[in-house]
Amino acid sequence: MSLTWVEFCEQALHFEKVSAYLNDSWCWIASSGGSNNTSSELRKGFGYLAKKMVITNDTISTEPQKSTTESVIEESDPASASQLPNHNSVLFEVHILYSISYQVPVVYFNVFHPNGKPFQLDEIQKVVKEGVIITQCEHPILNVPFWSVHPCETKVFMAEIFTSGLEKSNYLVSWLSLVLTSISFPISSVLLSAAMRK
Amino acid sequence: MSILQFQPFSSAVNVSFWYELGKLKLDRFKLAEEPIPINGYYTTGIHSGIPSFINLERDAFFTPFTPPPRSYMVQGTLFNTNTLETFKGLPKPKLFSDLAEKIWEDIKSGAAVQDPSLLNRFLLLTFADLKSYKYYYMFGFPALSFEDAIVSEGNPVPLSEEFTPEELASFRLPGIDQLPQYFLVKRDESRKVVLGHISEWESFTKDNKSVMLGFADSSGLDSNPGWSLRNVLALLSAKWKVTGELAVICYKEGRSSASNNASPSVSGPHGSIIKVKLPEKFLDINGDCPKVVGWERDSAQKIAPRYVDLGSTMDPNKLAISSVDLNLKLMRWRILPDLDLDKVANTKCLLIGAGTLGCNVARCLLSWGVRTITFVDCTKVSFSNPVRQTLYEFKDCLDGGRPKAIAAAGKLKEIFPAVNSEGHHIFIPMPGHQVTPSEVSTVQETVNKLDSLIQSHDAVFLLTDSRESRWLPTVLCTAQNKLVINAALGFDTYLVMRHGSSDQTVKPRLGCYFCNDVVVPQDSLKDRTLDQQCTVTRPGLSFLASSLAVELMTSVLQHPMVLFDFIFLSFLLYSLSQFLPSPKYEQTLFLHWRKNKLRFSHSYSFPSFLLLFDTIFSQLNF
Repeated sequence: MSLTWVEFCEQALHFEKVSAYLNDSWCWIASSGGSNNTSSELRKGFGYLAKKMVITNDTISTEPQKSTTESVIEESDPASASQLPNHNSVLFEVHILYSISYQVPVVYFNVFHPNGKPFQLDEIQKVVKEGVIITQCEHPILNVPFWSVHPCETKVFMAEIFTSGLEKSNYLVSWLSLVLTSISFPISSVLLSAAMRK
Repeated sequence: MSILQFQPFSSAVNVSFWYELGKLKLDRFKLAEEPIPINGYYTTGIHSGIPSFINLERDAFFTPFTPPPRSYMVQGTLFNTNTLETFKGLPKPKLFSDLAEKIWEDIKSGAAVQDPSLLNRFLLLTFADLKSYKYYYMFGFPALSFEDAIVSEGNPVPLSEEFTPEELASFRLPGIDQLPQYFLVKRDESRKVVLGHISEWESFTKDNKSVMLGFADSSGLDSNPGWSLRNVLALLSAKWKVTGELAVICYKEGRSSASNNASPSVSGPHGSIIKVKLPEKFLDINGDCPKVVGWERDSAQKIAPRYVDLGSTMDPNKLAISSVDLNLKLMRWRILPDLDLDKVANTKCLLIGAGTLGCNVARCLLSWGVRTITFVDCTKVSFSNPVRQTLYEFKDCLDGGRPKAIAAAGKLKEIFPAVNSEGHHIFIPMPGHQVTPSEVSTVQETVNKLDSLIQSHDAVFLLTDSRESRWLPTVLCTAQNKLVINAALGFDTYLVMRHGSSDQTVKPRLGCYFCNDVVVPQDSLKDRTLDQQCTVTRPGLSFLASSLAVELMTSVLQHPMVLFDFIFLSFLLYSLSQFLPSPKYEQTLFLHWRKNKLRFSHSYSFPSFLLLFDTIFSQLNF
C-alpha cells in the first residue's frame, strides 16, 4: 500500500503542527525548489520531516572522551556541580523522506557522539533492533552519508495494517510508530495518538 | 542551607562543525591565527541524566546566526592554531580571563543590562590536523564567581505550586513562542503576574514586592541550576548591589518525548523555584574583574584537551576502505552469518597471466576485499586489449605498449588505493619450447623467482593463454601445496577448476589440470595459424570464467579444511552448446561440500542455456 507525494506532504505538515502543539521538536524542512507551504509548489521528493534529539542510554554507551594528558590549572570551584559524564549521551538525528521510486516514506538517520564522531556500522547495529535491514547511503537532499532502512518491504507491511479498515490519512503516523521503534528512536505515544485522525 | 552548585555546560560538537572548520581553514583562514567569532546554542533542560549541552554546528561560522526554535544563542570566540605545539602552548588562563574581562566590561558599561545575552560567552581552542582529520579542542565557559559562596535555602519548589498553567504560559513573549533568556516576575496588587526585563530591576523592586528572577534553565536537574545563572547573579550584585535572599525561577520548556522511557509528554513549561542567598559582600563594580571559573571538565573532573578522530569518516582513503568493507559485512548480517570475510581478504593472490582472465579475476578479487594481488605476465598492452582486458586503457597501448603486469598493478591501486598490488614482467618457461644454452641462466633465475613468488602467496590463479605455460607453475604450486585455481577459455567453452592438494596422506587425491587431461603439454604455439595462436573466444565467456574462478576460490576458503576434502566438485566443464531464443532450460551450478556445510548456489537462466556437467569424482582414485 503506497502513499502519494501530495498525501505525504499533507500528513507530514499535520504531524508537524501536532508536534509543535505538544512541545515536541519535529519540523518540516523543504529544500530549494519551491515555497514551504503547499506541496503543489514543492518539487517532488524535496521535503522531509526531521528531528534531532539527545539520548542517554546505557546500551548505547560510547567510549569516554579521549583526553590528552596535559592539563590546565584551575582551582576546584565549590560552586560547580560535577560535570555529568557525556559519554552516555548521543545525538540521534532522524529524517523522514519520501521515496519516489517506492512511493512510500523512508527513514534516514544518524547517531553521533558528543564530540561529533558519527557511529560506525558496529555501533549502529547495537542501536537498531535485530533483524532490521539497514544500509548506509547518501541522503537524497543533503548528499551526506546517512543510515537508512530500506523501503522495499514497506508496501507489504503497510498493506497488512490497512486491511483492518484504518483510514489512509493515518498512513504516516502508523508507519512512523512502526519504523521509529525498529530503530529505537523514542517517540511519544501521546504525540502519536494526538496525530491520529478519527 | 548548602552551597549552591551550578550545572556546568558541556560541549556537543556536530561533525558538520569540524567539516566547516577544515574547509574554512583551507580556503579562508589559511595560516592566520586570529580569534574567530562563532555562535552556538543551548536549550532548556531535558532530562536529569543529560548534561547541559552547548551545540556547535556548521552554521556556527555564519552571520547572522539563527538558533533553532526554543533555543538560545551563545556567542563564542574560536582560536584555531596551526600546530599541535602552538595549541599546547596557548596562554589558556590569559585567554580565558580576557574573555571574562569582556563580560565584566559589559556589566560595568551597562551593555549587559540592555542585552543580557552578552553574559553568556564561550571560548573554544582548537587544533585541526587536516591530514589525518584529527581535531584537538578545549572548551571554556567563563563564570564570574563571588568570594563567598552563594547558598541555597530549603528545597526547590515546583513551579506549578506557585503559578497556574495559564500564568506559566504567559511567560513566553507574545508573538515569539519562546521564553526570554532572563526575566523578572512579580505579582501586582491584584495578584496578577507582571513580567519585566532585567533592566527594569530598580523599578520592579521599588515598591518592595518580592521580585523573582527567572531564567531559561539549561540544567535537567532540579537542585542544580544551569551555568548561565551565575553571570546574571554577578550582574545583579555588581550593578544594583543585590544581597541576601532572592527567589530564582528555573524555567524549562516542555519535556515532550525526550526521555527514554515512554513517559507521556509533559507539555507546557515547568521547573522549580529555588531560594538563593547572595553574599553580603557584593561585587565591586569599580574593581577588577572577579575570579573566573569554567573550563570544561571530563568525567574524571579533569581539565584537559579533548580530541576526536574523524579519519574514518572524512579521509577519502579510509572512506574507501570502510565502504568496501561495509558492503561485504552486510552479507554477513542476515544472508551468510558464518561467512569468513577476513580469511578471504587476507589471502594473498598471485595471478599468472594479466590478460582478459587476469584483469577480470583481479577486479572480482578486489570486490571480495582481497588486499594483496600480484600479477605475472611477459607481454605488453596491445591495441586489441583494452576492450576486453578491463584494467587497460588506450593510452597504455601507445609507445610500444606498457608491460601488462606493471600496468595492471598500477590500475588496481587507482581503483582502490589500499590494495597491495605488484606486477612482475616475467616470461614463464614452458615444456616443449627449446631453451638455448645462452638462455639457461635467465631461465634458472626465472624459475627461482617464480618459486619465491608462489611461496609468498596463498592462492595462485593460472590464467595464461596456452596449456604448456601452466605446467611449471602447476609443478611449483604442487610442491608447495598451494591453492590453485585454473581457468581456461575455448571459443565457446570454458574451464574453471581447482587443483587437488599435494598432501600424500589425503585420499583420494584430486588431480590437476594435466592429470585430468589426455594430452601431454607440448608446444602448441608453433606452426599454428593466427586464429589458432591467439585466444579467439566469445567475449562474454571470459567474464563468466573469471567470476566463477574467484567465487570458487572464496567458496573453497570457507571450508575449514580448505584444501583437504574427499568429495568435492573440482572439475566443472561448461559448454555453451545451443543458442535458443527461449529459456528452455534452467541450469543450476552447485559447489557443495561433503557435509553440505555451505551451499553456494547460482541459478542461471539465459536465452541460450548452459549445459552443466556436474561430475563428482568422489570415489575415484586418481
